[in-house]
Amino acid sequence: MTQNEPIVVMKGITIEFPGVKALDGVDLRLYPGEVHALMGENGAGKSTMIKALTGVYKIDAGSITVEGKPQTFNGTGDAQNAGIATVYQEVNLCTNLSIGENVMLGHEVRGPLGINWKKTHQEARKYLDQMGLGHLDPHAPLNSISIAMQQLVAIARAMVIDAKVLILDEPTSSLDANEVQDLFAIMRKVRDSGVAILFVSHFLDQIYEITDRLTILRNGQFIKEVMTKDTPRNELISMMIGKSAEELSQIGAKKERRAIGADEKPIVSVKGLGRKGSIQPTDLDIYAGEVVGFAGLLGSGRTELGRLLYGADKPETGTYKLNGNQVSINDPHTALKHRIAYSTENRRDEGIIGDLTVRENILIALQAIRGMFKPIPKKEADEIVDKYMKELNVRPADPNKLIKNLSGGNQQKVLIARWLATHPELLILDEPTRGIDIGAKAEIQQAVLDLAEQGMGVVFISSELEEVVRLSDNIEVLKDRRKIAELENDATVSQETIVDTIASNNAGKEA
Amino acid sequence: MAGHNTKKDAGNPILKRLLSSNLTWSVVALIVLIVICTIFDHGFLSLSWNENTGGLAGPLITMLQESARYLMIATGMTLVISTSGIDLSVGSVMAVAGAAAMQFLVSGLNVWLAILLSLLVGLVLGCINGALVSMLGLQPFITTLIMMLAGRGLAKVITAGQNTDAGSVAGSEPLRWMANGFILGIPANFVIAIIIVCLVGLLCRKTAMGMMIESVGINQEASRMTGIKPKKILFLVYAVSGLLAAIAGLFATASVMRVDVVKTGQDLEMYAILAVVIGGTSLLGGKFSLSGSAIGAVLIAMIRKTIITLGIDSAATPAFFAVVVIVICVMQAPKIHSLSAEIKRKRALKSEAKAVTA
Amino acid sequence: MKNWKRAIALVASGAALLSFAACGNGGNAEGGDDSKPTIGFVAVGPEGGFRTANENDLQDAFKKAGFDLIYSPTQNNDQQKQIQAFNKFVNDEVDAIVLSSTEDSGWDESLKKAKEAEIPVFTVDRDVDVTDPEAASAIVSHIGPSNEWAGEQAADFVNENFPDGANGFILEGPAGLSVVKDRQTGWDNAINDNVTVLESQSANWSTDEAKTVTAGLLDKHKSENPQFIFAQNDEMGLGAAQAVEEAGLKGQVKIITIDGTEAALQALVDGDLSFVIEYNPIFGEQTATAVKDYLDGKTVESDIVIDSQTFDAASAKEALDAGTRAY
Repeated sequence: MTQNEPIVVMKGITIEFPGVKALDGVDLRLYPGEVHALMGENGAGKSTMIKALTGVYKIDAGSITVEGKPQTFNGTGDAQNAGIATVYQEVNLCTNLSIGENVMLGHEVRGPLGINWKKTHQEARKYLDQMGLGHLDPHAPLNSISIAMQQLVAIARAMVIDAKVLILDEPTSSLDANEVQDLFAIMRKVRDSGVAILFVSHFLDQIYEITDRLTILRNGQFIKEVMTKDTPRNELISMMIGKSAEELSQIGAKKERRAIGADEKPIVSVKGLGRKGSIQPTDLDIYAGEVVGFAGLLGSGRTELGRLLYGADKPETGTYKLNGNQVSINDPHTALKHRIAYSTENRRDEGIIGDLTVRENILIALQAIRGMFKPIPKKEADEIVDKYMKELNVRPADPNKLIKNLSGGNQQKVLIARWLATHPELLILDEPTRGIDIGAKAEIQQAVLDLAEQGMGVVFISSELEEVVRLSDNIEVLKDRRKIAELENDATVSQETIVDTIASNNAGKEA
Repeated sequence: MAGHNTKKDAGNPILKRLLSSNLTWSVVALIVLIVICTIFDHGFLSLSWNENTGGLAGPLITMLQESARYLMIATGMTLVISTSGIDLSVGSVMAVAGAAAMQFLVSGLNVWLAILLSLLVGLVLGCINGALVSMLGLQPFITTLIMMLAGRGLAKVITAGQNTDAGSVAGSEPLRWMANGFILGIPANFVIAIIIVCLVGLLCRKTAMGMMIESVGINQEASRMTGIKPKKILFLVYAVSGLLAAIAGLFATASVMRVDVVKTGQDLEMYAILAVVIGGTSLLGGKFSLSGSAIGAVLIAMIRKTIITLGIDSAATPAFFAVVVIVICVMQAPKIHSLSAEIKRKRALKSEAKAVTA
Repeated sequence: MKNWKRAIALVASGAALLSFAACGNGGNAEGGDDSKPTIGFVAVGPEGGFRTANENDLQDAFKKAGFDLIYSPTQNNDQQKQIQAFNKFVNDEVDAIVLSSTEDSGWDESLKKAKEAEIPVFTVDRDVDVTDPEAASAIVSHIGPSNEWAGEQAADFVNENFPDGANGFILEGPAGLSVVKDRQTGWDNAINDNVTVLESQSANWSTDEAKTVTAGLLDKHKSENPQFIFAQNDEMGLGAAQAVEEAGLKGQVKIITIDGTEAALQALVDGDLSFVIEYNPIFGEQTATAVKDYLDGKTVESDIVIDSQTFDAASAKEALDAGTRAY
């Protein structure tokens, strides 16, 4: 790439919180016209580094230079004035304003009578066109477009304010494949205009697709700065988690399929289970000790089927048999009483109860089954919390921390602990590995295999086909809110098999 | 140097926790008001034995007597606010329950039956709030605002628009004692109120009720997904709030054995909300502190007592009230704490820099 | 049981009034009997003994005098609602408006409209404060007992009982009301120099608050030997009496109140209160007569003061035994 001067040089950045050094002498250089990724596991210091660069945290030691000028950021405003723009995971735009107004916010075109809205929207259209977003109507309200599109609008906005550095903190975590490609197209445009992009993502494929340069952090320390194209994946991963490549390769092997015996009875057997607008009537059997993968694109109905099995949405059709007995599961409380648990894909809104402690978050579902006025005895509660926190390796190992202060991966572990504490026969895990780092991901995958080994039925829902293929015994393939195939996941099945199954099925369109 | 540092580190966390606790600032405010009153009126702290009533007498005692009703409504309000709701009807429910009690007594009902029935009336009104909020999913603000207006009307209907006076009804002593009597010299209504607050506290913390209420207040959908039934919880808190408001209504009316359909409980929903906020429960819901609200309730009574003691002009009393509450809230604001921490840090840095140069 | 019947009757009459008002909305212009003049009554609504007695009496009297009276109460002393009702009466072109206002100011615009529409306005009980001469000219007459007179009576009682002077308190109504001002003015005009008011505090017309306030004042001024409490209404006086009793000072502190409700008279008989000045709510007949006279073209006095009585324990017993009290 261009070997000109870096726009931003951060040198020896140290940030201390009471009791911990979050960053210890970290360096970072951002070059114009490059996409630069910050790599590291959760807790490595990526977010802290970004917060130092955006002025959220004050640095305790080190220096920040922007375009050769030393800077002291006393707040986000200072960083913005220096030309550093940020697009967060949760889009920070005004959803009730129009797209154009959001793009131009603070830079509206003024006329003699105040803001000239017509010209403002024209100007907005110009910027949107530049970004390849010409198909968006600047007059439409922002909340009329998808979250993914909103993110792109946020990036367009960064261009209006003439940013030199654009920070994208996990922009892809909630996007599907097409949306990621739209995002990358815009990132390339922005990059080619000479802006330095700082990018954070947990998806290695994306890192290799879009970035030019990497800075690797581990435990708040600077490990290395490398060019992406010169760094093989296994080398990158071992730098991130500090383990050798050989140790890692063990996690990746595909599990051997467990065949269902002829005399085995399913734990759950549903016939024609469905709900209008959610999923068409579906038949499904789940056996003890079996991992059933739900594969399909976003909106295929994979989550909806999981929610119906749990009663999170009320089924409208079909029969539900549990160990041979007819039941009706219409709400989560009933499902849990029947020892069915569901871990949501939407961890923040439907999973964690942020202001409660880790301990309370683990115990709450078990408590809900037992009833409000039958508190779990302290001794039993301590044992449960202690056992699952150890088994799932929750970090920090302090049950009295508020769950909202834990990293995504550890929140996920706590949620799994919550469901395990209810001793489910069937555990439905919806995207349990989304948005969490590689180490925690491997731990959760291992936990899934162990649980099935112990005789639990597990439904594993994921948008990453690779892990579905690796962990499942049987795979239900869904498309357009219908189940289209059931694959016995033996050695012949691979990601391509599933992709082909989805691509070759046109039944949904005919219907 | 090192020794000095460790000592400082050991002492700081406790002090820091104390300083950032809402409870501490409420207690400080309480003490400050008492000190101000004592400076103004030297007899403020004096206690004497009143043969007439069989209890202690003195300014502090009347303050505690008044605080009983605030304790009741603040406790109910705490639970409601914790579910990120609000109950604007507590003042009106007080009037309805009080009106019912007085009217029952005048119409010759047995005093215990009158007490029981008027508590039932409060409970029913609370249940109506709860049903509308939980089952129909109406906004708590609107639902309880309607109940606030309807309740006033209901109180007037019950007494036919009169301020019913049960002062001369024979056999009403138990109710009169509830508001005016003494237990071991301490006002009976205060003792009853504290016992009820403790009971509610025990119920919340020794069972899973408190955790579930908080859970619903923090994230209703996530709570549903854990198997909690949020509708049940919402219904429960409004019902409890109605019942406690009825008790407060009995305290307020039995104190003079007379209901004032317009004035009884007027504006008290605001006092209850203030007590809860001063006590450290966020209006956004979630974690709640009953002890905080209880101190908040006593503090409200103390502010009113201060107004009387200082003889503040009646036109200026709302302003005085507002100023005191604002000062307390400002002292509790996390921004103020980080500000003072920042000043300390800067000072420390400066002295360190001086030490280095020297 | 009697009370429940009363409650039911009130609900029924309330419903009847509502339907009556609803009829009035659409059809009082043509539907009303031509021989029956229509009167709009902008009222306060039930808020206590005095108000209820007063408004019931007015309604009865107007009915008896052959008028069609449209009763429009407000709620919780909301003046805005009263103004709306007033303006509606002007638009409907009623023959006269009777105004019992919650607040003394803020009526100028509405009164001007009434003047333009040539609708005579009669203020009852509370007088209104108007600066605009045109607005003032819309008011034909004010009918009601005198608040200043009541305040003077209270002062006279204290003067008589404590010729050598005394210390005491005043319990005021809410700040800013004309009643409060007038009762205070009457007191100030008549009270002797050797009488000291240690402190005046508002107890918001409320029994319950008056008890708390009085208890506080008694604690604070124990050493100054307070001998009287002038409560500006009965409700507060009853609260003060309870605080006095609890402090063991019953009989030593004389309590004077204004209004003359049944409860106060009973308290007077029981010795809890010492002197009650009536604020006579029964002037429906006088009001109806004044309106009738004006509409018939006779001249009407601009200020009709309604006579009130004063009570001590003996006369209170008489009045109660006679059973003729309307409130």
